[in-house]
Amino acid sequence: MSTENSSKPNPTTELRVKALESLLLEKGLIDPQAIDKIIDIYENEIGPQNGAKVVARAWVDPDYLERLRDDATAAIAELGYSGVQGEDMVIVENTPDIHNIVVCTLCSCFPWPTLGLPPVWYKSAPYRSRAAIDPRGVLQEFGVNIPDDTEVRVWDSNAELRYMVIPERPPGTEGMSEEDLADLVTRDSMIGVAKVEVPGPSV
Amino acid sequence: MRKLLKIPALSVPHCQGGAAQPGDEKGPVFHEHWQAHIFAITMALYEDGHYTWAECDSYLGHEIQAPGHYNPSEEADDWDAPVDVAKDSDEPNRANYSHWRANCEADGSTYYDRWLDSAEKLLLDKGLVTQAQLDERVAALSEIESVAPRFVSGDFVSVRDVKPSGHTHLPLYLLGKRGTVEKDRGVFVFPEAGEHGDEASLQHVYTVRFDAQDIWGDGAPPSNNLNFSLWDYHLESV
Repeated sequence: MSTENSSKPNPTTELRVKALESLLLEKGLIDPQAIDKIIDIYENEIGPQNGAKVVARAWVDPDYLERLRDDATAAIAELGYSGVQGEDMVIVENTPDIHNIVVCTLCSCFPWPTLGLPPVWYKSAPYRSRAAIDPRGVLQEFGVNIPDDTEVRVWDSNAELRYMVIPERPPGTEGMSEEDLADLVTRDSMIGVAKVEVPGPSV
Repeated sequence: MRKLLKIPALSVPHCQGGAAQPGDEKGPVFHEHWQAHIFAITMALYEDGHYTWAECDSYLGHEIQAPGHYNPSEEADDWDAPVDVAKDSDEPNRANYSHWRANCEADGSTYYDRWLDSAEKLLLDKGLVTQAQLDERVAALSEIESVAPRFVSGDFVSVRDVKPSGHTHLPLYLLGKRGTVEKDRGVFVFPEAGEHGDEASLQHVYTVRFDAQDIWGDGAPPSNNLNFSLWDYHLESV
């Protein structure tokens, strides 16, 4: 960046961000309160707890599941989740015969309103390449063993559509409240690298 | 006195990142504050209409897919690497954490560096900042950050008993007096630097509190105190 200071070490990333931020503040192009608000929203409000509620509703309410199949964006918005990177949602359902896994091989596209910002590994080149080439291997790395005769469907979020996996409802959850069901649903299960499990009895 | 650039605080949000989410992996949403800030800056400028989503997506995609940035179309040999099986005791329900997973974490951790690179380029191309402004600001902040304070809040100090020549910001009745550093106020230009030979022109300024009795003697009310802004140069340890 700075040609006349070639003897100095490159500025740290942190320093570059501070420089950019202080310039933009000075020019009146950003507002510190708006910055803090955005960070707060993505750290505390938007996250996989949203998608978990969608899954739990889909498990208990067959009509809702039909609406999700028909127009996932609208059905997800019924629960109050919508916005940037969630404008074109599609749900993909796991069954005993089909396991879905989602990746963005080109960059890091992810359904923010339902799952929050993507985890570190999802954005990595090793995941982005291997999920497309060797999804069963990826699933094994995540501790999920898919039988050979189960279909594995890889969904590459290469354009506008954003995918959310509806994982299978585990046995032993009959009679659980929707709220308790939502607590079982993990972000990884909605990406497709995990199944939903019922915690074992505590010893 | 001329206050130099305020270094943006890169504030810690009132909730530490990573509010517990059901079944989520451990770890904050943003692992570093600067990552949160470059994300929020990019989003804020988009929300204010300085560029379209397609534009910032395009710049980000370009950085992610740039040669030298690991790209799925290149050799994807990491997943052929021998699996180094090690027990991950934090995740008893998962498969053993392998070499490949470690690679995912390591590579993914550079993600927001791509956001920074693409944000700089996008803002330069949009004319919102210039390269000269960025370079100058980086250099200025770097210089400020390299100035180390000699004192911290709570330190006992005395004012150097040397009468300044020429114009000074040091009230002369403080010479030799003892006080307590209340707060480090940041880095300022020291106007007297030229008069003192090798004194640094950028120094920390502190609020220093003096009990009135320490300045005026026992006649002063014991509950009065006086507070001053004093440059690093003016102070000595006690």
